[in-house]
Amino acid sequence: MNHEGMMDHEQSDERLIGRVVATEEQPNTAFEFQFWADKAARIGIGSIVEVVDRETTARAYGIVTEAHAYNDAPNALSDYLGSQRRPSADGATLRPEIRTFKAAVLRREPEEPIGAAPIGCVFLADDEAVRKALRCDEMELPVPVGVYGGEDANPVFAEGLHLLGPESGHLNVTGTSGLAAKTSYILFLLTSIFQRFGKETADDTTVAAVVFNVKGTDLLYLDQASDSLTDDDRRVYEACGLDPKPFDKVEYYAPSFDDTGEIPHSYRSHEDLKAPTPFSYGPEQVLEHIEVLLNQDDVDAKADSLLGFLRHGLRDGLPPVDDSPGSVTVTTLDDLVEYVEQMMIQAQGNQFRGHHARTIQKIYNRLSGLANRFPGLIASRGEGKPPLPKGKFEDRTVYVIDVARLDADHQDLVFAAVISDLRERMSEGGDAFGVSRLIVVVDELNKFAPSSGRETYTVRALRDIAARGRYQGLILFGAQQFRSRVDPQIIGNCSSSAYGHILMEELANPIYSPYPPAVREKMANCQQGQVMFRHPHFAQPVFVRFPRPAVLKGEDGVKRFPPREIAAMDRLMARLRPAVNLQPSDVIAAVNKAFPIEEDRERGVKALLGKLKEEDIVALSQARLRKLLQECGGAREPVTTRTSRGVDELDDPFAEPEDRNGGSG
Amino acid sequence: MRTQPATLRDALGDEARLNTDAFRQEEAQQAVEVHHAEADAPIVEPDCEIGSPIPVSATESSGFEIFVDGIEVSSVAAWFSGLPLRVGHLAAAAVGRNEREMDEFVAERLETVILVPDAMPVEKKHEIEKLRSAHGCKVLIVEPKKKDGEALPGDWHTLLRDAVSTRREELEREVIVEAAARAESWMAVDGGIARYRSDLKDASRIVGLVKSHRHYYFTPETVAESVFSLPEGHRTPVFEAAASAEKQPTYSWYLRLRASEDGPPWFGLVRVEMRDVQAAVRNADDVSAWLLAERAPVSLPDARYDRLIYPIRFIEQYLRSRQPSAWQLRALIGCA
Repeated sequence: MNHEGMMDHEQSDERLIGRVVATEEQPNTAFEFQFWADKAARIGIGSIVEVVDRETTARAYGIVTEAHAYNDAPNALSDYLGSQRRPSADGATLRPEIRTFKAAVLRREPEEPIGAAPIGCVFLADDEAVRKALRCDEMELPVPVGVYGGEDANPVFAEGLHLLGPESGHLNVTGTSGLAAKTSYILFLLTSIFQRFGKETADDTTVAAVVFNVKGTDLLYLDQASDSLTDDDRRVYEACGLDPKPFDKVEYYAPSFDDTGEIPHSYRSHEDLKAPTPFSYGPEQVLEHIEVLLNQDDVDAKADSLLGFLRHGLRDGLPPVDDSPGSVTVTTLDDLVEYVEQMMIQAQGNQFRGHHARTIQKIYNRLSGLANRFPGLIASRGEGKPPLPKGKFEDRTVYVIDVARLDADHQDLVFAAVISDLRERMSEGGDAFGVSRLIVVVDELNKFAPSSGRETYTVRALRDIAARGRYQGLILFGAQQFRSRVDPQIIGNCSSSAYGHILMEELANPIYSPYPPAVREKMANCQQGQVMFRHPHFAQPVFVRFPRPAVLKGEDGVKRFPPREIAAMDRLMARLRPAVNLQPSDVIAAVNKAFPIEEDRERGVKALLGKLKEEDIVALSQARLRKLLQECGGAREPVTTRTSRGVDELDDPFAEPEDRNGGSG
Repeated sequence: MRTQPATLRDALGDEARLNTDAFRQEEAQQAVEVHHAEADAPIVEPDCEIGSPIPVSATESSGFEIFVDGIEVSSVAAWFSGLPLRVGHLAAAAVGRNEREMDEFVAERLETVILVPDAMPVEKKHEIEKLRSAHGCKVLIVEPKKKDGEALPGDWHTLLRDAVSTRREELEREVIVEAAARAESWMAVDGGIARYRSDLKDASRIVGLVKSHRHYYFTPETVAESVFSLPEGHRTPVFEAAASAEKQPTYSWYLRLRASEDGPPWFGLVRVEMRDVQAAVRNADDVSAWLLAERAPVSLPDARYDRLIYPIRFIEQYLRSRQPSAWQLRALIGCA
């Protein structure tokens, strides 16, 4: 030991920054200790330190939760007077300034017995110490969740069995919108999970993700590489053992633009991109999620009974309204509306099969307006094509449901339907998903599962997923701006949480009171690319950095792949696709011929679309198409007639249309 | 029978009476006698007289680079056949200041001492000596004052207490000599420097600061008229402080660091001491200006803040932080 009382090896360790100080008034405890550090030490809230007891070599790892600085000025007045009331007065001598810190214990060695933190030298944690402090050496299926530290980035891992079940599961992310907290972090985690989860085991660790793109375009280019990664981003990816690349397999779904069910309504419409698969809902989904489509007053007990009757009938066949034998099969919404209309007529103002005429009429009014209220999303004709694979999900695939171009009511329907579908599959058990874990990412959780709202089916479904999902392989990654406004049962079942920048008003909520004031201050000042991560394996939450997602940002994607507006011609082609007598080239030729001037074409085609509603599309012929085009104001088709001299003559352009074929030579 | 005593109690045996209150409370301070000179000290600064205070020009920075101070704490530890024994801790340090930071520990002495009257039985003194290796402490055998080889009667309590101070001064001397040998820097020493004069080859840059005024070098009338009346930022001319049996002559002046309308007349008053007359006369203004600059930062909460410059207070705090606790000192005695 030298003059300073230090062990010789300590003096040469660059990580040595301070010493533990414990007094009778402020002793160390089993879970907390204080220390002072050199003024130049790069340490602050969230820093991880290591304490070594010289005599016993016991160690404690801690994370800094409070920081204080003070000098020996007894009070402000003495400093004011001593400076002779001049702020610029420096004084001949600098008062010694001390930096003291409080740290919460992350881990101790040995683990038992649990005693007070040792009094010894304090070192900045290196890679090995960080691993031990965060118990990364005990993890079975480690998943990188970010890095700790600055330039010397040390990867931080979460235990996959706790993040993705079955030990525990689910993740909740809180962060202020627009500050690259929630979506960016979830995308990074998905990258991390897809590339690293399960590498250490031969067990089934297949995983897929379902993501809702609720607003904007940030999730529409997950299969395209980012062009804005910095050197630091790449360093972080490398530290985590990850390849900064977009997702290999991404499937997009978007609601159908119209009732053809053929055109996806999405900003991802550039021809160089794989188009989303359009989806829509038929009568079965409509009835199943009717509470989303109607307001609360509509669905009273009587209406609920009628809806249950219809729901049951969709599966097993509805009884004919005239009581004839057999059953009526309803496959489209139009069919359903027609059946209800028949019920209404049959009731004759009284009742039908126990359902009052007024109830029937109410339901008829609501159902008949749905196709107009939700054009494209609810198919009036056709059975509906819900999103997501009917069979198994594929490993390491992201399924994006793009509802950004829908308004709030439409989004609610999609969300309720998808969550309901996933929950039902979860309940089936077994290999319902085809992958061992299916992650469902839900943003704006405070909107879909508010803490103060009524208990909707969606809330119940999310609660069920949060409570049981980890056993069945359905994992919820929820995100919101205000964690305090999310249903507490859902929040409470999320074993891991991440906190990005949080507004002060939100931090004032009691749910954040377990965190020391300094930690809350840091949460209020979190920079982009930083979160506080809480996980069952960590005794205390840890601040980690994460890189930008390795996928093309929404705004860059829109520039590189400008969305194409859906033209009337697109809709026409989609509508005529089922026609067996028409080829696409025939349709295009006919339209061009009818409307040689481009300006007239759009208008004319729109008019044609209106006329096609009553047509039998399948049987539509070229001749019928041309006639319709003329009715819409298109140019007349020249009709050639043979004369006795066998010379083709053009029809008299000034003759009436009915005279065309009767013209004489 | 234990061969190696672990505590003073072990060394003295059952016949000793321990002071169970040692280091638990401060000992009562002895009354301080104030001495005035019978005649005014001679003024050595040309064209100056004691009745004309000299204003000192303010300066932002100070030229002092090294500061020296010492501390002592002691208590009666035990009595053996009526003879007191004393235990104490003494320390002295010289600390350098670089760019306003007190960060260079130039020289340091730390010592735990056991003071034993010479009248103690020899075998007990031998036993006490064995504590030296057990505790790393120093055993000082204190002899009575002598005149013409004859021991003078005296109170052992007073003799032991004085021996503590004497030993502290010795440590301070060692530190000053070591610091002075290492650098040619202006050094400010807490207290007078007359007793160190012979040790220092070149003391032209060493300044003593006396805060407690037990000796005045002028008559009471002159002190009242010309010393106590000094305004803030003013000094007296340089005068010769008389020598004594223990001290060499030094050259001093009074300087008012701070003034107050209330309180004692020595509020903010320090006596500055230098070894060399020419150095003192030549540098009195500069040294005084530096001392005025040393008023910031203020040395509160020390009760002597009006006269105590901050670097000296820093050293006191530093030395006290390295002082054994009361429990440790009581453990040495054997009554913890």
